[in-house]
Amino acid sequence: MALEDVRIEPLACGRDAADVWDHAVAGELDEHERSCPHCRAAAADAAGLDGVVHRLAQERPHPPPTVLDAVLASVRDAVAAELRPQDLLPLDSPAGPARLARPAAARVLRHVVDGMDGMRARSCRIESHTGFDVTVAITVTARFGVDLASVTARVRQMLVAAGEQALGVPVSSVDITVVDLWEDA
Amino acid sequence: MHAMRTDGRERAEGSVEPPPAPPPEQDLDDTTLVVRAREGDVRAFSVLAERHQGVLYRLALRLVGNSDDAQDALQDSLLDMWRRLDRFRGDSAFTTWAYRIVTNRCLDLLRRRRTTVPVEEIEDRLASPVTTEHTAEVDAGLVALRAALLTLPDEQRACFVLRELEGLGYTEIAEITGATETAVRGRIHRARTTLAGVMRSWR
Repeated sequence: MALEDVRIEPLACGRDAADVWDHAVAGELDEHERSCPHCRAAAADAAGLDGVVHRLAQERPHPPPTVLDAVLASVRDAVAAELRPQDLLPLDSPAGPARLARPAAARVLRHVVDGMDGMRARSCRIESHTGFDVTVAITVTARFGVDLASVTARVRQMLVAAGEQALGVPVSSVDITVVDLWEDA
Repeated sequence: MHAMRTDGRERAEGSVEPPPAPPPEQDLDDTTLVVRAREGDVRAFSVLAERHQGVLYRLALRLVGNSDDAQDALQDSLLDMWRRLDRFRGDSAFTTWAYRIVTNRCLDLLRRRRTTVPVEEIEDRLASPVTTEHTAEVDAGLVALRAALLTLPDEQRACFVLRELEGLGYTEIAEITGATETAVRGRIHRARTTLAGVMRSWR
């Protein structure tokens, strides 16, 4: 980086030109800056630019929906193409092999937590062990003031039930960490 | 009539309370969405992308100066974010990280364009930016500012746009551009004085 790119020449009166500019835009010029001709010229420049910059800042151009559509299509393709065997949970299916994608299973379990009053799921990691059993490690955020002991007990109960009933996966243990608390806006 | 009443009562008593629908994912905070997206939740990523794409597009548009390139830069940046989410550790805000990806993408694009587009073409573009586009524009000052912005050196323009149009502080801009705060401050001042010189003729 060239030095002259960053050096700020002081005004002829010795004041830092960038400071004077900031003061002018903020409406906080001090007595010297209001009376000194060099500072006043700088402040006039600042005021002249500030109005039109403000108008430009108010413009809100928006991207066409095609951009996000294309991004999400690529992401979905990549997800499908990159699914590895370890991302699949084996299901106890007597009729033949069946597997469930781990992100899909995690999504179902997070949804269960989100439906509980005062709880939101963050991370949800599902690990398979011997047989078809899985363990679930979930992090949650809770509304400030909820009874954490009883609500985490309920999370555990709901996840075990959802694992067995909605996913067909026996959940042998649930590890819950409350990582943050929030207050209703 | 009696039977109907009974029916109604039975239905009320027999109905199982449906589980409350979870709040829409649009209500979730950035951190929650980032964590979920990192674990492969495409829907969480789409909410995150939708939430921030307007601001990121605006930044790209001001850096590259035309909507085609801005759309390309936004699209590439969002894909980049999906791929690199596991490297976002949450030390800074998601928006800072996203701004950095878009800024770098745009500066790359401008560098490449500069090496592939003939110099005369750039000069043409800079010489007559006002007359061809935005002919219906009534705010001549705005047109002049938009054109003048594009004549600034890229790094200066990036710092100026992040400061004056996005309202960020020097520290965050330094984090986004990878420059020191002193350099950021210097670039912004350079940009201001250049642009003020141009705008003097519109006062």
